[in-house]
Amino acid sequence: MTVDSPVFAVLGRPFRCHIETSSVLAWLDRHWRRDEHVTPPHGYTVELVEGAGPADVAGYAGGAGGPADLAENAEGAGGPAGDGGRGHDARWEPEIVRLPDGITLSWARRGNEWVWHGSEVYVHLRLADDGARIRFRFGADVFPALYVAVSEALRASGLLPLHAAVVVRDGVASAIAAPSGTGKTTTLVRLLSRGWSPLAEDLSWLDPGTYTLYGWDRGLRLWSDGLARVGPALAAAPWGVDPDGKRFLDWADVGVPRVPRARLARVVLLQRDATRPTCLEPLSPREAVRVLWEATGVPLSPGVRAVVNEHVARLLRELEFQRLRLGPDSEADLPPQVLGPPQAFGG
Amino acid sequence: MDSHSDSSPNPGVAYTPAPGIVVTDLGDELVLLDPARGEMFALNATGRCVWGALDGGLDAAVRALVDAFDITAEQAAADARALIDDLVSAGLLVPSA
Repeated sequence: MTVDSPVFAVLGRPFRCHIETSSVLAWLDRHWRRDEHVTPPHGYTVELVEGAGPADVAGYAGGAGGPADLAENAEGAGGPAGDGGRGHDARWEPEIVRLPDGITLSWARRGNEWVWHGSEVYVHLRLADDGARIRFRFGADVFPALYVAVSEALRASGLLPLHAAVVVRDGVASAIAAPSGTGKTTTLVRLLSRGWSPLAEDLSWLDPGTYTLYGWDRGLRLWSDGLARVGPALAAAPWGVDPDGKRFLDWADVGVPRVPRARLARVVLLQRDATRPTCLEPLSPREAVRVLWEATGVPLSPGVRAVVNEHVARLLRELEFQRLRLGPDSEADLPPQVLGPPQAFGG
Repeated sequence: MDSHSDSSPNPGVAYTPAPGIVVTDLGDELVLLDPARGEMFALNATGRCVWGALDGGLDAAVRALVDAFDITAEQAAADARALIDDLVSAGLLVPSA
């Protein structure tokens, strides 16, 4: 089945898809289609095209050899010769991308083009001012690179991903950021019983122009051992199992209505510290920079990176940044009023 | 920061941030992020002053330090050389082509 454009819009950005493989369509549905977020049309278009042959990219000779060949073809990565003897019309530079879940991908970049090669598959991303074009050849290992390409396209359109749990009270959102395994989801669940509502368990997209945060997760995800920490009522809810083995609970079954979007007012770094009681304290600007970049990820494109850097500088001025230290007293439950309401926006 | 060596900065060489380095200006300090390694560095007011002048090379960095702080040219040169050495060693700075 080929589906022609536009299939759907992501926060107003039209996605024009020419796709043959049903699992890619299902992937788009699961990761990118969020019909609950209706926003005004945006001029940035993302074109997603599935091809059957090899990557047809001028000057690029990654071929079927996969990442090793790619490294040899990229100047500076495989030795002093670079690509000078291969007839390439420009130099491809190696670029490493680390995903939040620990996966590392080796791309090659030339200007505003990126290519990633798997064993039999590829993803080619080209960014322009008014849109992005993503071509790919399908294979089971294509999805992480495809995810990177779509994320980069959305970044280029002016959005920022935010990897954090997000709770909302009185219409404003607090994002709780932390390395994986620190307890973001458990903390989110505990805050639900304190009058907070969920917006995201791990991922939302931020419109930095309006500070509007759009929740992207479809529910809660936990490893099985985390169920022991969510309380008996929630543990008894109808959790399913995702393909990666994590337990999944749809927002509809969480028991507290999810808020789909809200204005971001505060970013909280969650840290475990067994040496002192649980407390909330200010975060230094330097730490706030790190938290923001780690939560949003660094774009591939230098141009997009510069724009995001401007957003980061503005967010540093406009948002509250705090650290929530989880001490030994947080094991049973969070102390009362540990996360009060954020200050008035811009205050 | 006493890392003088044969590779110490040449006064005539300009410097530029290494490709991919993200620089966030906090006003009184600069935060440098190397996304490839996931490492972050911070420059205090002195470092920020040197960093801002490096496209003019070591001489420009020394002049900027002397203008901004109450130090001699010799002290400024020593500080700037040491910082440039450190930044180049850390992969944050490269000589301009």
